[in-house]
Amino acid sequence: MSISVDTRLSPVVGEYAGDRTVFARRILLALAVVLFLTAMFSVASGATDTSVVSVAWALLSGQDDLISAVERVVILDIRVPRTLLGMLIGAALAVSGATMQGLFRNPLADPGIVGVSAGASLGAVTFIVLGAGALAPVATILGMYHVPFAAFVGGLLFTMALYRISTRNGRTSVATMLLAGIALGSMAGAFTGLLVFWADDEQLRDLTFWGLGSIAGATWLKVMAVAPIIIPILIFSPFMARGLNAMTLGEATAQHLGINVQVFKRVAIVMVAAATGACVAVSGGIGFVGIVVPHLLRLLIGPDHKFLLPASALLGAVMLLFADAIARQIVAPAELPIGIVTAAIGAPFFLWILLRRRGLMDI
Amino acid sequence: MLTARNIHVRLGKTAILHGIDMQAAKDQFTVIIGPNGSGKTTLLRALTGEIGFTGEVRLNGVDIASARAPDLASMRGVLPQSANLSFPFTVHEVVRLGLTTGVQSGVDAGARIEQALAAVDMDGFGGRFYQELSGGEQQRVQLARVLTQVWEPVFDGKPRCLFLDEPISSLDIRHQLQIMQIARRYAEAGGGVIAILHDLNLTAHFADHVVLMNRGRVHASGDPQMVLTPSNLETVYGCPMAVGQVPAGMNFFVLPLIGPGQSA
Repeated sequence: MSISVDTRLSPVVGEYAGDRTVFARRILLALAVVLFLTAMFSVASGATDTSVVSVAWALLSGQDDLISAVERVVILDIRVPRTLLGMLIGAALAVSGATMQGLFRNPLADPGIVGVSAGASLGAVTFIVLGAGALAPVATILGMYHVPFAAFVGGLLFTMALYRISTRNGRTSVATMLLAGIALGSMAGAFTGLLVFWADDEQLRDLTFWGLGSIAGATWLKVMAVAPIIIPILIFSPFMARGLNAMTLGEATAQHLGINVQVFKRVAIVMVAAATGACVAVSGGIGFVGIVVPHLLRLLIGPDHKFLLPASALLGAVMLLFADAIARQIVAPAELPIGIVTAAIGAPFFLWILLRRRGLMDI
Repeated sequence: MLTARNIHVRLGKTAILHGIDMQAAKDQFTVIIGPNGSGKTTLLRALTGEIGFTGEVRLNGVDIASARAPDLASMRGVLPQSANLSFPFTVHEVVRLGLTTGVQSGVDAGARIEQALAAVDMDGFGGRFYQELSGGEQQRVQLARVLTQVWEPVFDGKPRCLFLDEPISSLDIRHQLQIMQIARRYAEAGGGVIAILHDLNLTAHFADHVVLMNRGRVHASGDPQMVLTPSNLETVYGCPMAVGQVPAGMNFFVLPLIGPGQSA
């Protein structure tokens, strides 16, 4: 007796060894649930005690009388924008990291490490310091988007420079990328320092808190300033997956697989710069989210960007809310800047990746 | 199927290819041979549009310089000499990259991937991590990826082409023969294959058409028997060669002549 299996009639994905799509979909779903719960927790927790259930119920049902007027202000004007901003920034940082790592074919590429954030900071600081003076006309035209825009331009220039320097004949050198990142970061730091030197007292206070990386000053205005940049990028990012997957085999092979590599690289670079710029503009230097989140997910669901990018967005949002919760609790009633928390967790993690890969990398 | 006219390639100030004219027909297994530095890989890169060149390359009548990447991807697959991956993809996922673009017909993606892996004798390896495979196994997985991209040798009435840069360089003899047979069958089924090889004996046995390169020029091209002559080979490789058939009527062989106590 012979048994014939018509594969056309059973196109169930995941039935083949090495195919992780079904598992990846489940993880995506689980992350979405975790994000929802974390967001609820984030909105509900803080100096004023409010139960998660009553907050969720009040928000979802529209029955405002279930919560007091104070709670209402605290929740709607402070915690909700803060939670939303945290989610947007966490998602954008993680997606930028994953995209950049795919583009550079290296798990250590991250906007924070290779100088892109520094470039974005330089752009942002330029406008914070000179926005009321020399650059006032530009700042007026761009309105509330002037700092995000300046950060985007700074990030874009630095990403382009970095790619130019570290890629030769379609191959990216890890060592060159990391070293060029250090040089570019220092350069940005020098110019930023110069601007800080020129800044007046009020600007200095703004710059100091901004530079530490924080979402404590979240307002609806900040949410509205970055949401139109970050949300389209998050929605668009899954369309980058095919190209990023193909790029892992090198630029030439990606081209042979049918990707228009030159156009693709430009789009990816602009995307990373815009997302990083938006994050830096409203929250300063929040590091390591872009490296930790995609790396953990690659261990879990594999490097297929079709799932890695959306999963990074979800887990990035969760991680940032989690880090924000720590930042709020650890020295309560005061608050730590969230950048300190992400660096304290992320830097050792980065070293761990480096140690694990020491034998594999060509540096 | 493929016509290249007056191909010149310069890298910096050095001219690598000096006006190559070349044709590769469908139904044929074309093999490019020549010593190190003779311009074989550069020629293949020009033919696939990977590097800048002057002259003209047409694939099925389409000028590759102005063709869109997805259109070219549906007409030809390219196997590089080696491919390193920086992320932990499984073998299944690497082969699936062959389905990045292009039109496929018939069976579903997973079944096609399994077929391609079986064709290169890597069935059962789908769940393994690519980075953990040996060099030869990685080479076969990459070939499976290329085959997945252009599985049918003729598609939409047009022949497809496989470009293979040293596809058997790190393989054992059994797998060398197996890959050569895959290339032959692809050509016999109406596609075209253009491969760079170093093994003159496998070239003699499997090729329909041989292009012998020397110092950036085509020294000779045509049937294996016409090209692989002792005088051609000695001129190009700089060592005396014998060409013959042994046992009579069986394998056509090429042998460097080394006397007792003499180094080639």
